[in-house]
Amino acid sequence: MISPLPIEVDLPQESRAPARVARSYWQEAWGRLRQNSIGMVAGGVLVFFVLVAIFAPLLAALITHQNYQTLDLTNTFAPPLSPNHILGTDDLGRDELTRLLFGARVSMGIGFLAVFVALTIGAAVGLVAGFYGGLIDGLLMRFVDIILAIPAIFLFILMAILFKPNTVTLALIIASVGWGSIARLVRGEVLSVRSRDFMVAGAALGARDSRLIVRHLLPNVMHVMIVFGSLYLGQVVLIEAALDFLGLGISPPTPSWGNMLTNAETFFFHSRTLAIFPGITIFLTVLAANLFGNAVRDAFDPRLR
Amino acid sequence: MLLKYVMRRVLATIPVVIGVTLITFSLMHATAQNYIPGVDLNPALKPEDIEAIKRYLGLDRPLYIQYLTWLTNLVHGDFGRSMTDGSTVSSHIFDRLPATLELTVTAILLGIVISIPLGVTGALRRGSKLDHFFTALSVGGFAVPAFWLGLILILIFSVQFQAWGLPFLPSGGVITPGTEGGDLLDRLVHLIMPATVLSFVYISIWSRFTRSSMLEVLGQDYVRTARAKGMTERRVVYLHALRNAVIPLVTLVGLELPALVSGGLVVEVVFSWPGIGKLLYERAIQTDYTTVLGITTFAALLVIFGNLLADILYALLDPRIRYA
Repeated sequence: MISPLPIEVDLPQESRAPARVARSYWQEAWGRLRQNSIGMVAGGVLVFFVLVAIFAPLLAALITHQNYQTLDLTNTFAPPLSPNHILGTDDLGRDELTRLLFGARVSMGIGFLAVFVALTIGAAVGLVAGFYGGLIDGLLMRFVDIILAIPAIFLFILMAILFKPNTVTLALIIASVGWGSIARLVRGEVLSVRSRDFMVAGAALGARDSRLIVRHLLPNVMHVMIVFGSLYLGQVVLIEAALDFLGLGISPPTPSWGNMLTNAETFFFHSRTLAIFPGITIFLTVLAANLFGNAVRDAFDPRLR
Repeated sequence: MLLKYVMRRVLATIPVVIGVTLITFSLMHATAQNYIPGVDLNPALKPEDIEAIKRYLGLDRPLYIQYLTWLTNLVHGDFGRSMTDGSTVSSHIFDRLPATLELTVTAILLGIVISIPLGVTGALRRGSKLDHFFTALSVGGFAVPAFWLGLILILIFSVQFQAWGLPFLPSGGVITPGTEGGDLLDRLVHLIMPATVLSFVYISIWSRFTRSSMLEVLGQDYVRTARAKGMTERRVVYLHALRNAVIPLVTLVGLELPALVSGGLVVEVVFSWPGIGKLLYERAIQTDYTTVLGITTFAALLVIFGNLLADILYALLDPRIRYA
């Protein structure tokens, strides 16, 4: 007779030590990002500016009780903390805080739109070029070389004169140069992933090219896109503000942080604060975007710290 | 072998040059559409006169002929003539180039001279308060809009200092108007603020880069060996580590060379610095399309030429780069 269970089996005790929960790559990155307090604060600041942009009319109605284009020529250059004008008024007596609130719409709107467009085009070009290689790769990458050879600021000025930009076209103008860098980055990443086993296996199983690119390559280059996107956001906000400042971007009466500074130099003797506030909002936005981008990069690649 | 590589690289730039000229030319013509400032809307001119002027300028010919003519002239070093004053674009460029180079070269040199010590100190005292301060400075410097920083500096050092009766800095220009410009001190005083603003971004990027590169080098075996030999820390850091840490920085600085021409546009406008960037901006607003086209193409050609030169230099300096 065989006695049942002759061997003592060490049954796993369930409550001894909580086993580490299996986490995906994305969950790991998110976990690291959450522990980065600077990055989370920076992300919070970005969310704050996005909310300001979305709810600018509501905030204006609740806090400043002013319209951003109401002129009051009897009350120009009012200092901050004057009655009815928390941050004072500008050269035409318009409420400065209200204009700053609405200015967030321009910066944030153009910022996110330009990043989205540049990422979409750049990733598509990079994926196709990296995946197919050969002639397609050569042609696409030479095109990127051409775009990136022309000094960006010159191109922006040319296109700004050509298109007389509004919010959407200005974002497209900025993105029309920015996609080149992301295409290069994505292509490089694709080249290192392309010959891995899962790609070969996918191809061997008869997957179509489009499926290989979208389902297998794209998730593997997504981290490059996210990191680039968050760092690029700050650059877009800076470029956009500079173009507005030069009078080539969004023009008055639509308030933007850049065009609020256009004439600041001529106002120095009337009001110092007019030159300061829009710059601070630009600075904070770009700072937050850069710090958040750094945090995202660290979260995806802890070795880079 | 090397000669073959150089030839290949030179040949490879030709399509890029053609592509760049095609893009700038077509952008410009999409904007201008044969519009001549001061002529098209001039009520004193009869339509047939306008026709004659356009025929004289070659604007009545098909676009591809115009492009080919322009390209042929370009190859011969002729960047065309200004639409508003008729002078050659190249004369404008060489008129403004010295001022731009004065500003950008100073800014890049300032950037190198300041960022390396900042980066080395940060790396040597990693985690100290000083290191954190430098880090904050560099992160902040990268986020400041250059034109706003310029405005604030003018507000403080020109306007406010003048109001306080202190010696103040000029708010713009290369020299004091009315003087000949031979006074070196006067030039330097005018250079301080624009060069500071322009070097700010360089300092914030390069100091971070030096810091991380230095940290990497300090962990290498040969640094430990040098220390083990009993070398003073000074010699280890400055003789052995720094030399190798700075090599990648050279590449980074090299990448900024195209910015020698275009990098300072916004700063030039803020400080009314009569350089190439300001020239392009002014001419763009005056709808002087041929000048804008000439400057843009000139700058792009410099970038392409700079890249080519860098590639060839690398091949000469680094034997690991295969001439493939």
